[in-house]
Amino acid sequence: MSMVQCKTCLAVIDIPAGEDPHARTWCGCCMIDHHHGADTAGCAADPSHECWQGPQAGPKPPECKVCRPIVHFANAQMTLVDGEAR
Amino acid sequence: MANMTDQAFVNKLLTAWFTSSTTFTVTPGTGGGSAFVITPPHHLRLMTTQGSNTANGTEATAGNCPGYTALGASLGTTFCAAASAGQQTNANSVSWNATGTWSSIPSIEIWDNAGTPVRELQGALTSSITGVVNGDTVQFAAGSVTLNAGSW
Repeated sequence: MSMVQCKTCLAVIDIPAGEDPHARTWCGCCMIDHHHGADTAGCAADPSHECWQGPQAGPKPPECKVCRPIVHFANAQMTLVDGEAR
Repeated sequence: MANMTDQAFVNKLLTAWFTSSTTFTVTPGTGGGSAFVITPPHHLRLMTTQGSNTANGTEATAGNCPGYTALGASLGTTFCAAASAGQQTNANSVSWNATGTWSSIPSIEIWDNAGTPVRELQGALTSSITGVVNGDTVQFAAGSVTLNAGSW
């Protein structure tokens, strides 16, 4: 697991190794002005569009990516050994 | 023959290597081998391919990780707080601001700051850094890099 943080609202989430965090929604910030690959104006014209439903929005379509920047927190444990192959 | 080293001695070695904020030379006595120099500040490098105990990994570049600069970032005047129980952790955070899409980062290396830098440590990340895009930040918080010599 790795931890990422939304730079807009500072909410954090752990995601499985190798998973693209920008394919996740965890705080709703990605829904603000979000366009799901379509144009923003199209979503704005529809008050019921999932873009405006925040965290309660349904599953995102595959092409949807979180457009808000995030912080990727990394960590490592470097075990000092004697140099033998292990 | 593992686990036969006095831990107080291990703590002294680790603290000398990775807590000292100034350059110093280890000069062995007769028959003790060549002198070597420890040159802080130590630098954290991001690797796109992990190395081994005997070979360097492949360092990230400004090309495949825009916002990253070759030779890594300084871990601060003092890399780690004093060792305890054969372990110590980084005292300062390190971060990069991505200006484009990054390749995956599975590992890191710690190098010194000599004119010809010397690699000191290498290892895999707990979890690879993936999915970094323009506007993101990659951060190693204080305490996120652990050096573990507890099995010496």
